[in-house]
Amino acid sequence: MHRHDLDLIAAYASGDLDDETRAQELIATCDVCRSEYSLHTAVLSELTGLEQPLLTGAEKSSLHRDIWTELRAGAPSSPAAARRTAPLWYRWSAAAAGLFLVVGLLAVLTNRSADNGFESLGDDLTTNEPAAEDGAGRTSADAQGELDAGAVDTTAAAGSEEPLVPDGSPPSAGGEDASTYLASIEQFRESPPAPITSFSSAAVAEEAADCLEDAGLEGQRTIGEVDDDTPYLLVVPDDMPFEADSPITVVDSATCQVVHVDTPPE
Amino acid sequence: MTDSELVARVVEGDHEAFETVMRAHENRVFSVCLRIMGDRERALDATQETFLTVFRKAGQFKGEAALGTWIYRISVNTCYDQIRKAKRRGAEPLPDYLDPSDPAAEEEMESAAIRPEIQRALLDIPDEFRTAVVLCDIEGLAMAEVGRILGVPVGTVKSRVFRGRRMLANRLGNRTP
Repeated sequence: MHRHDLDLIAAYASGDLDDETRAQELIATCDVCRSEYSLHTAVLSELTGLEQPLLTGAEKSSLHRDIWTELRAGAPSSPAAARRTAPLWYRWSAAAAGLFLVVGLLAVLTNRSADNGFESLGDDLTTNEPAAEDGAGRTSADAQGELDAGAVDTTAAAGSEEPLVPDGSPPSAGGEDASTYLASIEQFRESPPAPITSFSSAAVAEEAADCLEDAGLEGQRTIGEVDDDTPYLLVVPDDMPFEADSPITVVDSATCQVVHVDTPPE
Repeated sequence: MTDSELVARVVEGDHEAFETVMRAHENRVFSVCLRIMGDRERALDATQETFLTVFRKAGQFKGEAALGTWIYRISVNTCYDQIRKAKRRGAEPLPDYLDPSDPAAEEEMESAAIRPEIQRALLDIPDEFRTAVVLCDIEGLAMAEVGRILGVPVGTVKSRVFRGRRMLANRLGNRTP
């Protein structure tokens, strides 16, 4: 009576063995092993060599359009990424918005000067078209730089210590249900976890630390288990033991932005 | 251009670089999502979400693994995420094309390039076994790479693939006495 090495048979069916002798012997002499071999080859015959399903042209166009729409509508990948590099389209669209603002202001000032007697200013701006264009050109170049900074500032504000929702009400960050983290918060307050946070790997721990840094929460610590699939990081100040009434900051692990600050009612 | 250089350009804000990444990997991502999710619309949603995550996390790509491996990992996690969300919402009916009583689903079946009864059986086995079978047996990836994608040892991949096949065989009635 031999041991049915079914995994050996399965590997043989997959073509993964360097030495197939033992597997072949088992299949030749053992009904159970032969049955196992038939099973795997039958399943593999259904699964291997299939044509890869392809996106249609319309689906590709729609996919790309929806992705860029989503990216333009949301914040850049992270405040740190925005500080380092805003995407070119973002800088140009921000610059265009700035130019629009400047032109709008000029129009307002022109109208006001006409109404309020600031004619010299209005005349300079309205009669001297090349100057206006130059002004617009110089201003747009300055605006681009400022708007880069402004865009960065805006984004940085999103990731700053100031929460996005000061009143503490749960926002709809990234479409994820707020109950996902509210339930965890309630659980932690009922039973404060030990100070050690569990990460599924060193890489995940490093990613979480980077995310906290991006969110402006460097040095604070997460509570609860964190793995690749964790949608939110729950963060508490590192300089105090976590207790039932400690503030908990919720960070979206995809965007690394603060989405909620939870303080228990007094 | 290496994967790292391409991703660095994405991080720098190079629109074309990200388009290049999408064009190079979108069919593969869609294929995996379709096999795991079993539904074209959900697979399209998962594909979109995968690339959004790729863009957002591009700064975290270290170049230690191939870009394709990294993207596969994101797509698998995205599918798991969406499956979990669907489960939280409650059991959802089979997609029409998997409904045996719907003959009009022929086109959908052909687009998945897999027999409906196979896809039904795949959807019927645990997510981690299905994913391992999809990546190894259908997508044809080496077990070592699947291990890197899933973040598990090769032995675990083998175990999941072999058990997944046995479960499929049971559901398909292929097990011979």
